[in-house]
Amino acid sequence: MSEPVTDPLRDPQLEAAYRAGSAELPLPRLDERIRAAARREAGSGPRALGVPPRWRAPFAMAAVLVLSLGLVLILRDQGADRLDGPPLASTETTPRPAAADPVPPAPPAAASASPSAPQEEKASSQRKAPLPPAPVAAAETPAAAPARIESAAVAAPAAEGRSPEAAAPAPRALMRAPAAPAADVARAASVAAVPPWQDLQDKPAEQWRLRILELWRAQRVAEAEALEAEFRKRFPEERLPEWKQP
Amino acid sequence: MLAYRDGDATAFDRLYERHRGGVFRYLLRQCRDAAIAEELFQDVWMNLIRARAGYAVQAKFATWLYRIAHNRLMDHFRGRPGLTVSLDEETAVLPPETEAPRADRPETQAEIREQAARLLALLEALPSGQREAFLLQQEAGLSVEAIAEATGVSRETAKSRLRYAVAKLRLGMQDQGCRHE
Repeated sequence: MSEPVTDPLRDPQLEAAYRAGSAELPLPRLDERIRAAARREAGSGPRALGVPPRWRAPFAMAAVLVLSLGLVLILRDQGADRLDGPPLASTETTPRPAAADPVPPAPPAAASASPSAPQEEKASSQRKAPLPPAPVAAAETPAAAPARIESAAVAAPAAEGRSPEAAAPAPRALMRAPAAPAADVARAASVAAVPPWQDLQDKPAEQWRLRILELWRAQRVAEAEALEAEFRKRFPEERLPEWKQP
Repeated sequence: MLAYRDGDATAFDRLYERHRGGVFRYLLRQCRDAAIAEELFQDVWMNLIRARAGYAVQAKFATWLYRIAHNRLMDHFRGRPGLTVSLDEETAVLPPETEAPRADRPETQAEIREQAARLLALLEALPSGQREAFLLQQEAGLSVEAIAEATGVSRETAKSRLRYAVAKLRLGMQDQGCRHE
């Protein structure tokens, strides 16, 4: 009896026995469901959304930017109508027009009996506010405007004149003041809206794996899972990184 | 797949008809639960359908398809903490190379069925990685290189797994008196 060469990777009899016992098939309803999905996808044209894949990310980013900008504008408008929010501290570093600075002259009003104080105030006011006051404030507050623009020699009357109408220029000041918090809110909103894979759009699968591992290591579970789901969509033939809890 | 990518739905039907049984059995034998296998099977094909627009010919279609199936299976195992799947079981002692059995044919259909049942039982007892290598060879007709690519391991690892699987199955069938008189 001759001894045939044994192929360690194949055995015809094993294969025959395996084939004889392998007749399982998926259920017909499953077949129908999958075929229907395939037909739907094929019938929807090259892309379901009509947008080539390479343009999806830019479109998404543009949409995020537009929404963020809209949010900023809305918040600014809302902030301009509000009088009870004076978060001016964050804007103190930048010079603001005199019309937007109604508060500082008020305390020296008591000391305005001395003529030197108003002069110093005027000088510092001119240093601090090189821009002319807005005509809106001047028009709306005829008494307040002279209090800032005219000489400090009349500081006491100006202070008296300002006190009843000091609130008048406030809306204009607040139109600028809420800008910083609104920007913060908008920035936070845009960061939240930006998916964790935004900077990975055109990166290879290996970069995605590294990011997923980083997120798991940092225990940012939600982001890691979201990134994994997106990874699975984009690279169905690629493997997810193996991550074991330390 | 290229035809389907370009919008030919009938091309998908042909692909599906050719591979549906193999993919289903591959999943079924790996997860050992018909309901889960159906769920995974559907996911695999849905993933394929979704990924059609980005499909580019980088390997045989079957390799790509079974790679998707393998990844889905791994996702499934990862989502079940109680179930651990070891893919590196080459620590077992490889049985000595056995002489190739003579090609004696089973005499009756009953004997064929009995052999098939024994083989499936032996297959189920194999470690997951070895079983997978054998299934990919049998169901998808993949070469060692393609098995390595589909499962994300080196060629040597894939070859080793397949060799162990065949040797163990062969030995098991012999032990049960199926192969030798």
